[in-house]
Amino acid sequence: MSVGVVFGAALFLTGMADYDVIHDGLLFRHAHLYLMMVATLGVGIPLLWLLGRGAWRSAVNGPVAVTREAVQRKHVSGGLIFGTGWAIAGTCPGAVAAMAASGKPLALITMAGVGIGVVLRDLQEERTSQRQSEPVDVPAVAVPPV
Amino acid sequence: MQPYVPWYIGGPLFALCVVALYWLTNQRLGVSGSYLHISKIVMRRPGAQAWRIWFFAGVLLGAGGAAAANGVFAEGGYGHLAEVLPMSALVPVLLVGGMLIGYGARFAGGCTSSHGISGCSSLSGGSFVTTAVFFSTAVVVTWLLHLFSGGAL
Repeated sequence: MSVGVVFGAALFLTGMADYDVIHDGLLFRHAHLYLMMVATLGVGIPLLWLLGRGAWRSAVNGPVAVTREAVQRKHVSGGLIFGTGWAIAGTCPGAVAAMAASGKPLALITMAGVGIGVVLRDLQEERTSQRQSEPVDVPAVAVPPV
Repeated sequence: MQPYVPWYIGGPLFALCVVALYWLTNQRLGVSGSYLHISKIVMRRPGAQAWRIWFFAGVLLGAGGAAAANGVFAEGGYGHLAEVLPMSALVPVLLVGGMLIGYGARFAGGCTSSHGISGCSSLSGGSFVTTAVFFSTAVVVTWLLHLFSGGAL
């Protein structure tokens, strides 16, 4: 929760929870959004690299294992849908929560949309995995005696 | 743009949050997962992770506290979008925009925080691809909105 508090405060204080900052950044009116990404990764990459190489143990959940994912089609499809929503609403799941918490009630509508979207996709994935794990009915074939 | 905390302080602060969450709990920082796990509790579905809900509560507390401490709580609305669109159009636009964000984040397995900040910091190929795709898509769609609205958006 303490990490969440710092993260939420940072989202608000850096302007990442401000529609105009995101929208103007995507229109290249300022470089703040891109410099934020560069600064985050400039510090995050070496620190996580060190954390991943050392035999660190986390405080409550065993050895630290930095997760990496191979490129899959879902990253492209999901990125296309997510990017479209990001452009329309000018926010992302964390930023819109920070926006709502800073007293902007319209952000609650976007938050509701995010919740609906997440649940819809999750139920869809659940149904697909259930269908794949169901045994396939193979019609019985009478085998003639040899 | 309002006088926000500069990028050379804000960026490292986000990075430290990613590292701290790994160091404390061995978990990848991400907010879209919190929506899923809150929905699991609301819909009484199994598999809800408590830490994600506590993390989300922290985000709300941190942002609310920062706004109150700076004396700007409840100041402003939804920026320029709320000035351009009437309320009857703004509500469905925000709802649909939010649904695309949520659906896309779940589809890709993460959002700006889990892929863009955390995943890219861990040099994950999937996160780099997702981030490149959503950033470029957002730029193209924003420019299309700008052009089709005659520069109003």
